[in-house]
Amino acid sequence: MAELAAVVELRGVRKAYNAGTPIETEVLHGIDLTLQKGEFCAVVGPSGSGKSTLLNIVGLLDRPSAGTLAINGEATATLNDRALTRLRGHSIGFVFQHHHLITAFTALENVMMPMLGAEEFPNEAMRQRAALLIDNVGLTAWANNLAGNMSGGQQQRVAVARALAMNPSLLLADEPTGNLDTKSADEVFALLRRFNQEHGTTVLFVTHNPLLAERCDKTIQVIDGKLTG
Amino acid sequence: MPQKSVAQRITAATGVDADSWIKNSPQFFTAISAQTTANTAIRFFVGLSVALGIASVLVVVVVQKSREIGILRAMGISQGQILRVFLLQGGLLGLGGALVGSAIGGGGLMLWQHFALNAEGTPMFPLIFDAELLGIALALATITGLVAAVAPAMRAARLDPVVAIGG
Repeated sequence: MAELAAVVELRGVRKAYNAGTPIETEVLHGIDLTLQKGEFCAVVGPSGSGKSTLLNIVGLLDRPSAGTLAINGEATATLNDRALTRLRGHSIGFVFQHHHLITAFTALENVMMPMLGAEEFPNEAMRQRAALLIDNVGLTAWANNLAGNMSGGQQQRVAVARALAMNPSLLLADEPTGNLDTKSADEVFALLRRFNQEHGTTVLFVTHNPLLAERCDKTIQVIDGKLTG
Repeated sequence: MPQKSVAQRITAATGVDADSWIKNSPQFFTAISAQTTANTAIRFFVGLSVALGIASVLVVVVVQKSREIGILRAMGISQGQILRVFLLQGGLLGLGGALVGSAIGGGGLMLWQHFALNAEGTPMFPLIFDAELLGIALALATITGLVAAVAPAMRAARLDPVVAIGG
């Protein structure tokens, strides 16, 4: 039986800003990281250590200066912007520290957003999928409420539902509980954990909360642009 | 020249001394020509100011919505889709503006016709609704909006999602 490709595979990834200039700053120094299907991995480390840069590169929002990155076995170095966008849209979901919902839209409409560009979701299927996800995060009663009128915890749960709209193989969460109270943070973490276990979604979870990091399958530490642990 | 030959024909046929009235009224025709040129210039500058107005509104929208644009890009919305959203907005602004402007202009003219009357009670100027002219005006305004939206739309489509989300 052929071995399944890793969901994320980074080899020798470096990231430098202002490359080739006197003020060149390298923030990631040769990162090697492999994440298999269904892994729930915490990323910890002090502010400014390169965690968000790492997440941006894994999420195909930024390109590494050197090294290779493959998502689901597909090498990304030679992909153009259109192909990267397509791969990102179909394989990767994002949850940010700030929910970044469009507050003038309802919860349901926000969850429908990622499906707008996908041909596999005609209008009715898109609405049904969004309603199912809203139900899964326990917000059915709020589906038609404007996102701007919801609490922080509810907004982050909508953001989780939105990130899962395309049923991605990889979910990147950049301190999704950072702005939430303990109870809401716990609910959002439990939600991510549930989707990880039920759907085999690989999760890369940046957090400053050691208690949440302990509940992940594994923890990697980023210090001064290098992985430890 | 046709004017001259008409005058000559009238003279030949009737014995009346006839001459071209265009030839005899050069100042009138110079004034008409200057008015036409001024009209064209006014239309051009009105169109230019409309285009600049739409472009500046869209630039502000792009700056205000840059974070949302970044989020959409992160969710897999392509540069082409972002570009189309802003082009569509520009076109709709142009079309909407032209519809509102036409309605206000038409309403104003009807009021004028109602109040500006000759001594015998007839309208001073007859109003003729020209559907073709309206269509051309709407199409031109829409195209102007689309053209004005090109630069802001390209700026939106090229936004770096990392910068946009972080900003």
